[in-house]
Amino acid sequence: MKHITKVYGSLYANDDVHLTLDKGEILAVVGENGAGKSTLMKILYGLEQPTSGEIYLNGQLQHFRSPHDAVNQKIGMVQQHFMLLNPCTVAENIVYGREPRKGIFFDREGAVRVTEALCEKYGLYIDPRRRVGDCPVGLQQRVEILKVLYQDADIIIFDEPSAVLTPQEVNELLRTMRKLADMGKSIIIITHKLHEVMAVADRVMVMRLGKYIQEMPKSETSIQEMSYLMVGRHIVERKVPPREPTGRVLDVQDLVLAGSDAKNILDHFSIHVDGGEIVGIAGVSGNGQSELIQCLTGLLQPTSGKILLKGQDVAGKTVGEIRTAGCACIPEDRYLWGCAAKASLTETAIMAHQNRPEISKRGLLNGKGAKDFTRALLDGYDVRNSGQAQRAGELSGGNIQKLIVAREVEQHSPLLIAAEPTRGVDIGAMEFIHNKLLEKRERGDAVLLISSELTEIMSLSDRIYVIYEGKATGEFRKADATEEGLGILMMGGKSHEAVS
Amino acid sequence: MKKILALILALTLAMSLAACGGGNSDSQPSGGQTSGGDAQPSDDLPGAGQKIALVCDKVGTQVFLTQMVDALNEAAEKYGFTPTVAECADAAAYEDNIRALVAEEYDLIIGGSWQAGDALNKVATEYPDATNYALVDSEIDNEKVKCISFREQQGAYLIGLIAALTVDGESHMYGAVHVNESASSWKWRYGYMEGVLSVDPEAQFVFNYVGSYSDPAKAKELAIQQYEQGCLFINSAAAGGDSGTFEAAKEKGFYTSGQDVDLTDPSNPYIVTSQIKDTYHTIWNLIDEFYSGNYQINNATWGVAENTVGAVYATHESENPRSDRLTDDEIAQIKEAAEKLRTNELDLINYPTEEEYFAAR
Amino acid sequence: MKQSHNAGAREFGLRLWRALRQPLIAVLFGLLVGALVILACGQNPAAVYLEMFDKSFFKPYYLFSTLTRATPIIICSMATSMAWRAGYINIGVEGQMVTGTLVATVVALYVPGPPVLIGLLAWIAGMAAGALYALLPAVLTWKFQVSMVITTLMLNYVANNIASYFVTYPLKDTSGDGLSFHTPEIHEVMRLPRLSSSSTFNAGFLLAVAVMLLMVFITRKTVFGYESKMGGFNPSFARYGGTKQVKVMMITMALSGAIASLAGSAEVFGLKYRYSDGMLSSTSYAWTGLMAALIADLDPIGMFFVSIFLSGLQIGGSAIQRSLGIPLEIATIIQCCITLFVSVKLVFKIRKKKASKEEVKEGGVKA
Repeated sequence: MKHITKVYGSLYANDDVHLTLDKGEILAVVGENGAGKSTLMKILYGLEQPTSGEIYLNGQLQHFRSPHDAVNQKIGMVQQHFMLLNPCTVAENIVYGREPRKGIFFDREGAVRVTEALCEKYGLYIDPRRRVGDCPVGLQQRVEILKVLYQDADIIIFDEPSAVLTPQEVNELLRTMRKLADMGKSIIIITHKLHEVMAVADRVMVMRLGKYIQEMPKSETSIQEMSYLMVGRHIVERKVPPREPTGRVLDVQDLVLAGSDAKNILDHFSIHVDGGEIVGIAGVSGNGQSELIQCLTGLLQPTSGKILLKGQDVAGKTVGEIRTAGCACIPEDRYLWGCAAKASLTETAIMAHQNRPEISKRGLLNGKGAKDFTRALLDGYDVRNSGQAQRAGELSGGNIQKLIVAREVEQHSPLLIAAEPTRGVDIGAMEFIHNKLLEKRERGDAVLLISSELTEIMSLSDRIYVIYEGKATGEFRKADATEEGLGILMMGGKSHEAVS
Repeated sequence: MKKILALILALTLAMSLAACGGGNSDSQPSGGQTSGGDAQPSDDLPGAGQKIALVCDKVGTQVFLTQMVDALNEAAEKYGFTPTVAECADAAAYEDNIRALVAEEYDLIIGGSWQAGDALNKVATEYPDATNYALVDSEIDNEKVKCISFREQQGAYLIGLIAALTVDGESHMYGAVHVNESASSWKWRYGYMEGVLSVDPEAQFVFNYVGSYSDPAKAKELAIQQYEQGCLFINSAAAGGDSGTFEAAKEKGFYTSGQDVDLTDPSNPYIVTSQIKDTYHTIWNLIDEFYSGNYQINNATWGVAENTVGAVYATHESENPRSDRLTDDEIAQIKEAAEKLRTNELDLINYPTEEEYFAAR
Repeated sequence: MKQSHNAGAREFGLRLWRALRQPLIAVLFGLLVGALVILACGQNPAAVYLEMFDKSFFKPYYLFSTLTRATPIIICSMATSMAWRAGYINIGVEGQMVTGTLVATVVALYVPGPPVLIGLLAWIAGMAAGALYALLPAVLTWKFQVSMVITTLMLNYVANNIASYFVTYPLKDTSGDGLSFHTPEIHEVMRLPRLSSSSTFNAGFLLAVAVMLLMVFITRKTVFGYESKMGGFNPSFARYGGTKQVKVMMITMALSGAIASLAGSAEVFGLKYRYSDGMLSSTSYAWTGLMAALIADLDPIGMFFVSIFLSGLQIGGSAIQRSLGIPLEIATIIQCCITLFVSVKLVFKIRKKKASKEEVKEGGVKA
């Protein structure tokens, strides 16, 4: 790919980017969120047309107008969000679009045979008759890979493939990639997880702010160098000094949330958080974390169990009551819960502060008070804005997240629930938010950190719980926690396996 | 100045009528042919420089209203005044329009139906001497408004007569679906009953009221109920609800009649006649009187003698085929009755009140 | 100090421009399409528009007519926006207005006592009735998750038919020839004073202005206004922030219904002096108000002016029908085109939002 430029409005998503790929090679494209990696891959896969620039395949100029063109040229893409039909079987999903036929009928047995042959050929085993919806995420990804292989792709693009996987599944995936490369497939992996790059890639290309920065063989670089290139400055490894916890702030006892079927979404879930500590909850997405947050904050009514907040049982209370009792929350989905796109920054900032005496008295808003308060948040948390009348939806993801963090930290509540506090924000904002959480801890408040980023949990938490299918399946002190140990529990393993 | 304005207005109106045929044709079907005359009001005509307005519902294809519009335009040609039709899209528009017409210094403002009554009453009370007010087909208590009512009982009598002749003794139950039951609607019932009883002394009557000017569904339901009670003729005077009665007639096979204009229909032979309120002659009579030199603001009631009330086949002919239930002899009998009404040999101008009538029976 | 004052003025100007920009463009396009229709009728659009605006805005008499007709439309648009801005799609303003007005009229006519006091009581009773009638769908939504769009819409028919029944039978004025369905007239003392000797322009308009100011106050200056607005923008956000949503919904709907009743009461006490069947529904005040609310994007000041403009279109439409014989529908066409162009804006906005969201997702850097 030569001189690729893609412009959205005044935004240069890709600015004169070059990319080459050899046969049988694994190329890692790294960069922060928003560096333009995904855009580049979309152009290669025909999902987007470049504003300017050319794509050559085996020396021939190509014009991909749609993914269909790309697939015909043997380019395949494993999407971050799987494009699978959950009620159908593995085999049906793999052959979808190019089904084997018997006359005019779909040849189901033929599909199974094709799938089995494919599994055999690439050494990726899976039961072709299993329903995709029943497969764990790692297997679903394998279905995606097989689908691409079935389409006979020579170039396979992986877009953030490890985001949804447990550490074990990640290792399995990396082995698969290596195997495919050895069989002559060319692979591009987009990621911002540098240790994966170190584990699997042959060559690394770094992008920043839409621009091509540098590329080098993996053997000649290090994680430090790559992160320096990605961010443009050095990131200091964080050292968190241990701290003695003060009294109990949150005590969750036997919390149950019944699901629509027999299985409970939260199943006798018990944890506790003390003042002055950050407690992490690790787990693969969809194991009850969202529901846990909603129960704790009052958005959902738990079926049974106690939530003691500073000794007061708040289970089943309203959001307002729980907030008054001393709980603030950085929501997991900032656009769903954390703000309203059309609201001004002032309106975004004063939510849950609106009854403070400096902002309102007897139901009447004090406009100046609200503006001063907002100004303090915006300045204190380095939220880049064009004035308080700006709409929340117009801020970038990192800035709106910083504003939400500011709003919730400034509640000065004994308990702060931080759910995915840095999802999708750049490294600078991530560092800032982490520091704020640590400051909160220093003040002696309790922080409950719920995140699918294991690194985040491991670097910040004093204690870590693992959540699996709505149960708290393990508890680690920071010193005892290892990625592997957590990973086994996150996959549903037993805690003694994790320790041994 | 005013004349020039009037001239411009007339010119633009003429142009609009001629050029805007597509948009305006259904509201003023025959306006085009007469408009040439309006365009140049000559000074020797009595109405030169004057303006007369008709305030009414949206004209559309409502014959009741198009007849008035025709008469207004033709009278304008004769007398030289500038005619205006102010159509009212909603209940508030009547008062808005009438007030505006007063402000625009019209010489005669005619309310085209009962909907204009309340608004005319209010405006005439406020500006009693600003202009002349007239109201057609309704009566209000205001000495500044000339109210023209109809002797509907005469038309109703003819309908009753035709009804009895149509049924020919097959049933003695006669039905009627009317809008509402009020003191002023008694004349409809009275005339209808008298007409039927003149042929069929054993007749019995069922009256039902829709309670709305536009409820075909309810009218249909009431008509079917009356049919089930044995009525073979059901007089419909339910305004916009008439279509419901007609539909029921076609489904069940009873006979019926319409109201206000000729509603007979070649595709529905069960509508044997229709009571007529001849608004065309009404407007002509009114404007003739306005320019006759002795225009008086007193209420008038016009009937068969003034050509303003009647019934299809009795006083008015129809393009549609006559029901085979009516023989030529019977038609002659009906026409004779109409003639008697005209000469008042058959006196329906004076009639008893409801209480008196039932007390006497 | 001076600088901040200047900045304030500029911000206000900017806000006004933001509020009026879209409606103005929509109006321009609406008039343009109207011009094409007028051309198709063989008339000179410039002349027709001149006549139309002359007889709706420029001459005092017609301006007063326009403002008089705008009164219930303004109040209805305020009632609509009260609920809509909080995310409750109340399209039952007509029903709430009819119910409230009927109750107000009945109280004014039949409760014995000194007329001034009864007049006041009538307004209050009307507001209470309108509020209760609006709470009905709110309770249904709260308890049974019934779609408020459907309940409020359906309750319009219920209210209209019940009101029709009352004026057709028990409340009907039997004086005169009894052809019209209406109540007797209310006592003269209860009538709102006229503000102009030559027209029906009355104190109801001042009430409309007051309601608009109240709306501005509620939306800008109260915690309730803030919470309901956030609920309208994103209910999940408001819920997460701990606002009492049921309470906000109930107050919102009650206020909406109460304001709606004022629209009809102003019409009865200021203009018609009696309740007649269909006086509030055939005139489509509630729907014109809804249109105004949509065109002005629920901004109270914008709605005020848009309502007056739409009312002027109707008055002017009647005028050109009277004097030029242009069909009444022209005014309707212009009105509908304006609404259409405003909805084009809505679609455009949603598309833009979608696009910007994708950009956020993909990331990227401002050049």
